[in-house]
Amino acid sequence: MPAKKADSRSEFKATVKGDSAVIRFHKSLYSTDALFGTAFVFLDRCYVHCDLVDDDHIEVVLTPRVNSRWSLAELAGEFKNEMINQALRFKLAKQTEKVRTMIVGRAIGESIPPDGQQTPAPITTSVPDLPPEVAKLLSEEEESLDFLDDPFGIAIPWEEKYKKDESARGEGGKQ
Amino acid sequence: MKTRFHKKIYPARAIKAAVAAFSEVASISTSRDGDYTIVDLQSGDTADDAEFLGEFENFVLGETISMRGVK
Repeated sequence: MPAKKADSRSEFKATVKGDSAVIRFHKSLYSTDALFGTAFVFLDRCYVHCDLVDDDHIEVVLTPRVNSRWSLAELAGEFKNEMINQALRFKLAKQTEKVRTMIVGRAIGESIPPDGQQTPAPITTSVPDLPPEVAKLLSEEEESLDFLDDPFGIAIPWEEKYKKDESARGEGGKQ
Repeated sequence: MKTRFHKKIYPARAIKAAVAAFSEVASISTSRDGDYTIVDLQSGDTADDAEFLGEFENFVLGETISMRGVK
């Protein structure tokens, strides 16, 4: 019975060569985007080297770093899993590209005020999370509030603020 | 120690950038052989050559990946 000819397009196998794991796959299985996305993830775990063995196949050599906690089998298995993950990621990105572009474009478009409107819409006074006295102050001062106004003294430097207090206490103590 | 980079996977600019980055810590020479760029790296300590070579390969790969994002 003649041996069944292996379909090289279905190849995605890992072998051991010296102290490295070698993964070989057909180019039609995974794009170079998926390959590079996976390789990037593994740069901190091992040394990664890619080669084009022929017109159809790519070979990736994974060499563990010195004192690495990863075995060759683990590296190869995780690499193959990550290739699937990256391939799916790019596939979904491609499928949803138009929708995402539309969503972002609409979000940006709605943030721009319509033509003819010089000032942005007035700030609403009903802010339920603020304390009542703050909400009242804001509603009273809203129209006349300038960016230079500092009703709560937030812009006063710490040194200036407490120096005044210390000098006042000092005078009181001397008396 | 030698390694080689296929031109269809690794752009020449990425290899050049890696050579520039590693030139201060290792002696590096490059040559062409068909579709491959051959890189010969000598760190000065044969015990460290393999590690240097691995880091060099990762650097080239990192540069290649970052260049793919710029079109």
